[in-house]
Amino acid sequence: MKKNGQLAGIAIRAFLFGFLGLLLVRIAVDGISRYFVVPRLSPFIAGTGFLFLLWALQDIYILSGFGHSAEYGFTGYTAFLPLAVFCMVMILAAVAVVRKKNTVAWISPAEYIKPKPVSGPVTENGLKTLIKKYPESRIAEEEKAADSSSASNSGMLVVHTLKTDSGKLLEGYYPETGKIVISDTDMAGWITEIAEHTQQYTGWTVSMKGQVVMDPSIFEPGTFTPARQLMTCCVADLSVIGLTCLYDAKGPFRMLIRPDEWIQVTGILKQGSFRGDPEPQVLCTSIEKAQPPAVPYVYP
Amino acid sequence: MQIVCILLAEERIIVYALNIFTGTWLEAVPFFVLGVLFSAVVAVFIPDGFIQRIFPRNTFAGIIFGVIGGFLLPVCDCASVPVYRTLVKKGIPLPAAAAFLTAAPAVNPVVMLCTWYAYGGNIRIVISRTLLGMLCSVLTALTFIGTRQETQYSEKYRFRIQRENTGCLITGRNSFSEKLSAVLVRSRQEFLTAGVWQTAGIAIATVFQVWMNRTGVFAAGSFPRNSVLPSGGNVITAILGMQGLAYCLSLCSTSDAVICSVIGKNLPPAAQLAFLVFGPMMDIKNTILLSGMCSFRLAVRLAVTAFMICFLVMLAVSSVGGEAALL
Repeated sequence: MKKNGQLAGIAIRAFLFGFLGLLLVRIAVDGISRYFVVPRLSPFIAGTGFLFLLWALQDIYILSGFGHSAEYGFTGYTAFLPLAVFCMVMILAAVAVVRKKNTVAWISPAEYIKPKPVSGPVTENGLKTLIKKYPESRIAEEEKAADSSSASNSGMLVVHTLKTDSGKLLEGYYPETGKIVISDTDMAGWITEIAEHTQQYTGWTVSMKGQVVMDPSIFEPGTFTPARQLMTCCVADLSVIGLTCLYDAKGPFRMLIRPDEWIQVTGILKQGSFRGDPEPQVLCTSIEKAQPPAVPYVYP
Repeated sequence: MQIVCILLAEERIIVYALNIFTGTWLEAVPFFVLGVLFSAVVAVFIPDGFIQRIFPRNTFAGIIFGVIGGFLLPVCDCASVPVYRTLVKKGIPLPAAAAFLTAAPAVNPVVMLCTWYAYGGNIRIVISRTLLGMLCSVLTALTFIGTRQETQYSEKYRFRIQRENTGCLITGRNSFSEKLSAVLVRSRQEFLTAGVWQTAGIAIATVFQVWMNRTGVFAAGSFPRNSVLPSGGNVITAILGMQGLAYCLSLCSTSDAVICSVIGKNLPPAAQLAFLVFGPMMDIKNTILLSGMCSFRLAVRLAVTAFMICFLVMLAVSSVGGEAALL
């Protein structure tokens, strides 16, 4: 009886590890893990899933009759309970995410890694800006090589990519028109870049999407921030980032600027201060309602 | 019916708690698994007595060795506990193992890089965190001099280790493939043994985070509200408050700098460093994991000792006017 009990325990253990392993591999590969942890942890989660599957295979080896259960030091049932609980929690959380998935458009990670050509007429000025050195070190090297050969043939204006001091590539950089268009995924990088080089970008036009935060204990009337949630490691360490925006509290924008509303803000960058600390701020020139982004968080 | 209504009304809290629990577990478990794999490799491939032979005999040198080992092994607090247990089983003196346990999560290169990034390239905070972390680790380890290893483990733990070691497959085989198989078996057993405590620790840390979110002390994903945190004028309260917060939040050592740079912005540098130094050394998750893998007495002793030493060190630095150099 004891041996049958041990084998039953091993079977349950094999099932749990197998199920959990497949679940971890699936959420890492599918990108569901982005809702809980930063994308750079996905390979680690997948690796953990594969290890769980290995452990499950070892148990299956015992159950098949080739291995001796005593050699594997069966440790009892109590250890299974937290694993079982966690499996259920994971399923619940994953189902909640999948339900949410059906309401917003999914973008696979590959789609926002590389900048895409933006179709549009290539003007003479546009062609000139492709080879304009402004400043030379700021335009990504790989784009310089692509510009001259492909732009004139394809008839498309290629979006500039900025290479930051730390080597990060940021989309939406238009030095010829003094404009920055912050994509759904580059908020953290652009805010860092603008904060570090505020003087260089003063007077530029910036366009960004975010959720309105206007807590009166933090913001004075006429100021708010279109914020995004920055995930450094996992959901437990979420912090809010955004640029302080200034608007006429009695003007037409006040109808759109409501707490938690998703808006697209366009404005002029200027040097300002917040509670005595200098910071870049945006003078709003245009505000529109916007759809929530596909991925709710931004990553450093 | 009333309970159902309450649950429906609190659905957002439940979803928030689920997200926090799942995120923390997904973040912690891969590194915990790395830790148990590493400790299994050490247990199976390194012969008994080898580490004792190469380890410095001098206690203080051993402690320094442990701190350097923690610096060179970039593991977070989840992975350091299983490695600590294996090192102790292999015969490393308790003070050196304690130095490794407390230093590894805070003073490794990955954490230094994350701190540098979180504080906008401020190198002084990185150096302060690293040096003060090493100092606190050494002082904590010194308190374990003269403590016999056997007294730190409960009867139940000794019995559990005995059960893990039964079966000739675990150690003693010469074939490489058999040793690899033994590594897998041992790591799985250690994971199952400690997984209970790991999950419990994460669950309790989640409860604390949800409670702090409700009370406004700390809110993941929103602007910080400093109304409950101690004001910058009282250094003692600030240090104690930030250490308590670090203990309860149980944040990963690679992300706590980001949180600290936000919530501790208006607090004295000593209080911010108390958060950054004490948090990786000891938190709820670690305490529960340590009490499960070793003993409750050891976990409590380590937590209390580390808390007091960090507090005294930060207070001393603040008192002698060294704060200006910290940040």
